[in-house]
Amino acid sequence: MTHAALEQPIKAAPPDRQSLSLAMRAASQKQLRWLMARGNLARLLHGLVLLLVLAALAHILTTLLIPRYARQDSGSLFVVSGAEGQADLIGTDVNPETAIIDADPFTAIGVCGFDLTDGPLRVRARSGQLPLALSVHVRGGGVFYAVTDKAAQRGIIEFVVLKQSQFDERVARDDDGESIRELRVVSPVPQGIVVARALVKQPSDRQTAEALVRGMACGSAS
Amino acid sequence: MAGVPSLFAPLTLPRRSRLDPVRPDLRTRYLIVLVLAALAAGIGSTWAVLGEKPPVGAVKLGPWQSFPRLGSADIDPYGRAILARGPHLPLATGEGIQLNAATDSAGATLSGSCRYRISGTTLPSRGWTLVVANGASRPLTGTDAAGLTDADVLTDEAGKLSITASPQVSSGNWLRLPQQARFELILRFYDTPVSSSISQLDPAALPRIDRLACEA
Repeated sequence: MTHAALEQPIKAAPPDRQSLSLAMRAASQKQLRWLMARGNLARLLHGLVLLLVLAALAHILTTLLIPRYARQDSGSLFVVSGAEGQADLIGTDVNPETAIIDADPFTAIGVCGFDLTDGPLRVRARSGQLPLALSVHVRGGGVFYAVTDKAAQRGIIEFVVLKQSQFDERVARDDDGESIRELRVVSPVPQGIVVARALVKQPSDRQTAEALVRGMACGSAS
Repeated sequence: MAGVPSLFAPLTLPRRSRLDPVRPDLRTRYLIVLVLAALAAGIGSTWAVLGEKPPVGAVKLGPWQSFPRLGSADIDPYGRAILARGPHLPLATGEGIQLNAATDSAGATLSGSCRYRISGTTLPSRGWTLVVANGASRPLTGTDAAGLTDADVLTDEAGKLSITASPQVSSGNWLRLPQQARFELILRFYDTPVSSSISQLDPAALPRIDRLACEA
């Protein structure tokens, strides 16, 4: 060995090409596995978020659509009741499909259906000895008006159910300065039912109560 | 936005190769499974929530519970959906109030194996009824039907009532209960001035339900 050769700095032996390639492959596979694990976890989390969002949408949509397409609600079942101008008695019906699920057995119930596209509806009932209340239920659920016999004028409860457009027409027809004697109730939807409910405190009151609610008259108010 | 995973990352799964028709289309299968699972979860949760009583809007007064918005114009969507599932005619605000009790005043579930005392005051009204219902809040019918009205009940000089509710006949004011079965009580007040302010009502204004004894 010459002197010049001894003075050269000592260098590490360069790794051979094959071992370098194996080491890099191992490192990259490890990194790849880690990345895949992280990616799978992220996908799983995103999938769960999407699942929850879609499930919440389905929950909201079904809750909102049930009343729209329901045919078993009282507003749909009894919309044709009272077609002859007098309330139909319900609740004593033997047909379980039209029996009120949670009706108070100590009441008599009469119903008139209405469709305001045919014109406004005039409701008129006579008060009696038994507590009586009238309420207006809309198709799809909700009660927007109720009155008890305490509000009866000379023993008569009377009001007109109409749409907003029909109400506006009537107001335009009213003569200035003339007092209006009818109570007008604007319905948010065109279809619904008017319910007359009388309390039957004792079995002997049953017939009187049924006559009271059946006496509710529902006719055109055009 | 490098490094921030996209919300739609799962949608970037490899597409089916036209050269390899046997290879499953992971993206489509993933989406179908996801949508079906979401629909099942959404519809299932709606079905579970829509029982006999709405999940929201309850006014709790001791053992009694009321849902005054069911009979009003500002009914919530859950209430609408419950009314749509069967013919119901809730009492309108201004017409009266309905209160249901599934437990006694100590919080124990009402059972036909026990005897109860229903005592205290009632709300001012034109009349009230107390009806025994099954566990699904539906009044018992036929020979099991049981209930009382204010005309049936004797009160003391202060106007306080005391009713014994039991399957066996009892002296005084007696409400017949179903044998060995879970039940609910439904108390309705007709034409009461508090129907529009029930949430401000003091629970002491309503009758208590106390368990006296139970069969072994």
